[in-house]
Parts: sequence; structure tokens; C-alpha cells
Amino acid sequence: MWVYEKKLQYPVKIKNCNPRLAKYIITQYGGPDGELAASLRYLSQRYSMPTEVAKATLNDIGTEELAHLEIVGTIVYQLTKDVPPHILEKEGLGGYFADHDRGIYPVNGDGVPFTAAYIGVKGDPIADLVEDLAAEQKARATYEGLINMTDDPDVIDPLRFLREREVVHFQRFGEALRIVQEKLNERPFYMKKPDYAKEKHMANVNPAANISPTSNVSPSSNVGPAANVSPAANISLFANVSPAAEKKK
Amino acid sequence: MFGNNMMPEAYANIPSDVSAEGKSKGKAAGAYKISCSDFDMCKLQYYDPQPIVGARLAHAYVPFQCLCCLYPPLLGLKQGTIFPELDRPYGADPAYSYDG
Amino acid sequence: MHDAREKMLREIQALEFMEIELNLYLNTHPYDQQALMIFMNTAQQQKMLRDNYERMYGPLTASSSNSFPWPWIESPWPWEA
Repeated sequence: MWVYEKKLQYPVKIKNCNPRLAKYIITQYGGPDGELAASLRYLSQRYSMPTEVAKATLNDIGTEELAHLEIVGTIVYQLTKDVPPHILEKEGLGGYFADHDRGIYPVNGDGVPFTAAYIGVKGDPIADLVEDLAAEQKARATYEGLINMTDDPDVIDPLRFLREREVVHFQRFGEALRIVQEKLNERPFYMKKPDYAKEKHMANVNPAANISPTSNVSPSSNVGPAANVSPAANISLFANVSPAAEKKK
Repeated sequence: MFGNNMMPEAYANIPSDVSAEGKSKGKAAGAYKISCSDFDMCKLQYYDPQPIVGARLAHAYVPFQCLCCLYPPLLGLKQGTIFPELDRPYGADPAYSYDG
Repeated sequence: MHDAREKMLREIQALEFMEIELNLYLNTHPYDQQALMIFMNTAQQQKMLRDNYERMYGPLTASSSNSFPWPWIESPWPWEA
């Protein structure tokens, strides 16, 4: 569960209003590569992760993205605070103002509302983690575009901070992916349930190929590379199986 | 497998930027951070990280980060990270930050 | 007065940020003892600064509210400059 602290992760103090910029910055609130999409994605993916490292990483980075959501919302709020409606309308926020007044509503830069179609939760750990790597790069690129669009140092400061956070998150997800990959690569090459009768038959056919499948399975040890699986042993098993014997099972 | 636990030997505790009270409390609690006088050595890790051993085709790999020195807390907050090797401001990498 | 509050808050933000960064680092490097020690020291120092701030300027979490009338609702909230 979550505990809220009454402070931003990074201070935001914007002195000059700029509604046109707010219209673009809100894409990091409710847009496809924004913080809402990021936090929802990570917090939804963590349930089906196989390793503790991946669960913890997704959990903590998802939580931090919620804090970033708050920062982006604050930036938009401060950029449009006390701006009269006719100026909002002139700067392109007329439609948004008609529906939401001064509220902060999750939309992208064109006013398209947020949708869960922006996120992917495949349930497959490698697919999910690689998607998270891509998401961090997309967010970084979006922040760079937003930094390019303004000269106001009060706005560039938090955007710069958020951009750097995406770079660091990329590194963390990459490390989590390494650990998950090593854990998944530990499993034996084949995933069938061992058939002891067939194994005994195979041992009679070719005494040299006496591979006991269970010796390769070590689900409890997640330290060390996949040293238990020797590829040569697996190849010789398949090489000795005649198609007829395979079908007889 | 989890990255290395070896610490670089050259590190020194320098006073932090936090308030005088925090400084005295920090001393009372013992050394609470490591920091260098010059972060350039740590930043080199970005270009030369721990090599990737046992890579396979059709897999993606990111090198593990090794702990070097840490920025003082206020500098870390300003930069967006406390690790100098991960501190890549916009424009530092011409290839990384593509500006069409 | 306003500046002193912001200065104190900035220090707490900095230490908490350090804690979060080390948290993420330790998630993928669970056997790094040096980082763990720095994390524990940072957490301890942050707690002291936080208690100081809360005594002077009001609660930072709802559960640390302990005065009358209920102080948690007081401004400023984080999005107000």
C-alpha cells in the first residue's frame, strides 16, 4: 500500500504563466509516454514477475513514477494558474477549459484522454521488462522535446530532473532484465515432465546417453550462471531418439 | 552475478551541503556517505562498465553498474541522480539525445 | 521565515532522494554492503531532519499529525508555490 508525503520529490516554483506550454507538458501527465502510463504499467506488471529483484524494481519504480505524476501535474497547474479564460482560449486551451476549467485531466498534447491501450502487460517477464526499457526511452525523448520547447529556467529545471530519472530507471530495468534472464536460462532446455520408463528404454538402447532429467532442474538456486545445463548432453538425447520411438509415447 | 561488491579504495568523506545541524548529526551517526573530490574517475565507468560475460543471441543486455562515489545529497537532487556515472545531462551525448 | 522552511524542506528532499536512489540500486545489487550502510545512515539522518521539520512546520505524513486542530489539512500543499 502507499503512504503519501506532503512534499514533491523535486521542488517546482514557476513564476511565469505559460498556457501554451502547459498544453504540451500535460502529455507527460496523461499521454502515451507519460508518468501515469508508466506507473500503471509497472505496478500492473509486478504481479507476474518471477524473481524478487524484478518485483521490487517494478514496485519501487512504479511508486516513484506516481511521485513524478504529481510533479508534472504541479507544473501544469502552476503554468495555468490565474490565467484568464480568454487568454487560455487564445493559447489553444479553449476546449480543455470548457470541459475541465482549471482542473488537471489526464490527456495528451492534443486533448486525447488517457487510455489503458497505452500500456502493455504481457505477463511474460522478458516482454514486460523490455517494454519498460522502451517506455523509459520514450519518456526521456519526450522530456527532451519539451525542454527544447521552452526557455523558462523554472520549467526546464524539473523537466531536466525528470529526464535524468528516466535514464537511471532504464539502467535499473536493464539490470533487472539481466537477473531475470539468468534465472530463466537456468532451466533445462526441454520442459517436458520426465518420463522414467522412456529413460530406462533409452538407457538400454544407448547406455552412453544416461541423462537423468532431474539433475538439470534446480529451481531453488538462483545464484550462478546456467552451469547445470550442458548443451551437448541435450543434443545427444534428441539425436538418439528415433521418430517412431518418440511417437510411441 | 549481481554485479561486483568490490569497492574502489580511493574514496574520502567530504563535508556535505546539508545544514550545520545535519552535519553534526551525520558525524554523530558515523560516516554516512562516500564521496570523491573529483568525480571524473567515476564518470569514466559510463564508457567502460563491467563487461558482459555469457551473452546469448536474441537477448538484450545492459551492463551492471558498480558503486563508485556518490554525489552529496543536494548536488544529487539537482542533477537527478547520486551516481556520477549515470549523470548524463541533456546534450552530453550527441548520439543519445537526438534532436531532429 | 519562508526561506528557512524551504531550505529545511530542500534538505529533506535531498536526503530522501538519496534514499530512493540507493533503494533502487540495492534492489538490483542486494549483496552490496557498502551501499546498504550508506542507505541506513541516510535513513537515520533523514529521520532526524524530518522530526525537526515536522515539529516546526507541521506533519509530512498524515500519521505524524499530532496537534489540535487537525494539522494535516493545512496549506501549503505541495503543488502550491
